[in-house]
Amino acid sequence: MTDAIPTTGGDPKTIQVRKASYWYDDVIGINDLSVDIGPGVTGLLGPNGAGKSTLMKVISGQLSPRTGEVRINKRPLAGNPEVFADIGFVPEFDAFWQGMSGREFVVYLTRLHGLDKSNAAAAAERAIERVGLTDDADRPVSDYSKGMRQRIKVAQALAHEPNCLLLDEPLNGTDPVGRRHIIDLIRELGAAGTTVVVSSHVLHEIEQMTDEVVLIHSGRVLADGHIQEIRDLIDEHPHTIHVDCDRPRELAAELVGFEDVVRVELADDHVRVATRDPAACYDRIPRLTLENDFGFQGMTSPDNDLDAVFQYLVD
Amino acid sequence: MPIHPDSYEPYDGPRGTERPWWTVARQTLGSMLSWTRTKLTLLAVWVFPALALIGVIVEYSLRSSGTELPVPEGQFVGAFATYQAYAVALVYLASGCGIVSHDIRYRTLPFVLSKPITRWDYLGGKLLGLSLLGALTAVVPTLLVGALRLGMLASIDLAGPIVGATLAALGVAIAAVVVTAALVGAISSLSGRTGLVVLGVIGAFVAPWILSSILQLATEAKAAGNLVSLHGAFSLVIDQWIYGDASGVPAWSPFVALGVLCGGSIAVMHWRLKQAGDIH
Repeated sequence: MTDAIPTTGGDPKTIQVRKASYWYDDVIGINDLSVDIGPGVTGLLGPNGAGKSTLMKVISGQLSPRTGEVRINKRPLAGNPEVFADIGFVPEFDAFWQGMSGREFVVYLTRLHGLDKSNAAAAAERAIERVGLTDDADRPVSDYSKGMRQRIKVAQALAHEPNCLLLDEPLNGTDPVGRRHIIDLIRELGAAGTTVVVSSHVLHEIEQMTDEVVLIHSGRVLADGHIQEIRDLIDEHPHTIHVDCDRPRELAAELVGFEDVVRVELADDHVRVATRDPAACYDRIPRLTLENDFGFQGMTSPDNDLDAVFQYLVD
Repeated sequence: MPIHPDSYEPYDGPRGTERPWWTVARQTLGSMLSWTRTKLTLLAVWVFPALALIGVIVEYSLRSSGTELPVPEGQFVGAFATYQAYAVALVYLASGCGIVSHDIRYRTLPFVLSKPITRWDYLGGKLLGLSLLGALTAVVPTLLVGALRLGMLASIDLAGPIVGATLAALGVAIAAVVVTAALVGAISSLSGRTGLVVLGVIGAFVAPWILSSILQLATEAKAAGNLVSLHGAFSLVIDQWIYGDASGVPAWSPFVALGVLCGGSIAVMHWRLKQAGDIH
């Protein structure tokens, strides 16, 4: 246990949070939290209700901390709206204006940075291309799949070329293709020197983007460091994957033969698989369902194993 | 632990000088004008000004042909100004209740507020967007009808008596547009459920009206009773400016009532936006 300020990423530090607290009536969001985050990808990991989204909202200026301070590029966030020119924020939830196309969505939000129509359109075009939605840019966002909506949200955060990108649960509900696209983009931005903070309650998601994590629990930074240290702890607890598909019985029969699979639970429309090798399993499941035409719908991880690790660290 | 180089180069391309509140205002107006119900409501409320335009032309033709008509006074302008105050309320009720409420309902507020704009930029842009819709409803028709009538009556030397009344009608229209926009904006910021906002706005129009009627019946203080409702206050302004009637209340009182309502509404809206991250 140390009093040193948790630190991740390179130097100089882009995000500095000092003794920040925020509470919702009687519920603590974050509690006297300090952290320094620099260039590169940092994973903000914690179970649901840990305070990740509150920290994201505080860093992105949605909430003013009741106590403490946030600085972006050494400038205080409070009362300093021009600091937001350095920030790109992707909120957790599915949000868009009714009737707007993807392009209109990105152009409008880019214009709020003061760019005129033609420059905003050009910046939006580059960002849309970067997230791979050029062909669908003129369709209404309401017609997009969940994965495409996540990508258009990322595009609006990238268009003004910020050096600090905050993504709150960006892989929620994404299909495998969208997931891969977003992961590759995040890694690419991190490697180029952008400070990227990605929150998730799923260790495996974070693991695909970065080695550096900050663990949040009960509104505090519980630990920070290399993801392998977390992985070593988690390997003692099998990882659970929930797979929705049309033929769960056949998928279950295929999965039980693998050595890393320690348990398979079957229901009418899904399979729950417990594995000691999540990376292999995440690659295997979509492949198996496609090869055998099992009608793959999607997969999520309740990650109860992560809760167990948090419990271990707290204890 | 990997250390990443800080190779970030800030964007130094061209930036426009456009103010964010103007971007918000244009988006707000554009969004409202794209709705069928806005177009239909605007068409409906433009029927009376269109008839008034025809009436002005008929009046001019009759006067030019030597038909004996009374000397024009403020009645027509007063009725027109009263109508415009109600027309603004109707259009806002149909299309303005979602100006902030939709951003709460569809959770789009965080996108806007994570950009380099202040809460005041957002608030000002929303109110300006709604006011521009109100201007299309009331100010533009008042300008058209007023200018045409003044122009035609001036050509036969009869404009003099109604110049002041016409300018007063324009003032009433602008006040109705701004004060009603602030009231609707404040109520809209209170909930993400637009249906509730519509009920709230109806309540804000009707409840003070009922209260004002009760006060008038109970105290026989007709003018003082008008001060507690939005349209009552407008009627006092119209009485003073257009009919030149002192109304039995201090001349400043309806302006103070409207000012307090407008200022209070803007304060409520700002207070709600300060809690933006907490709004669900």
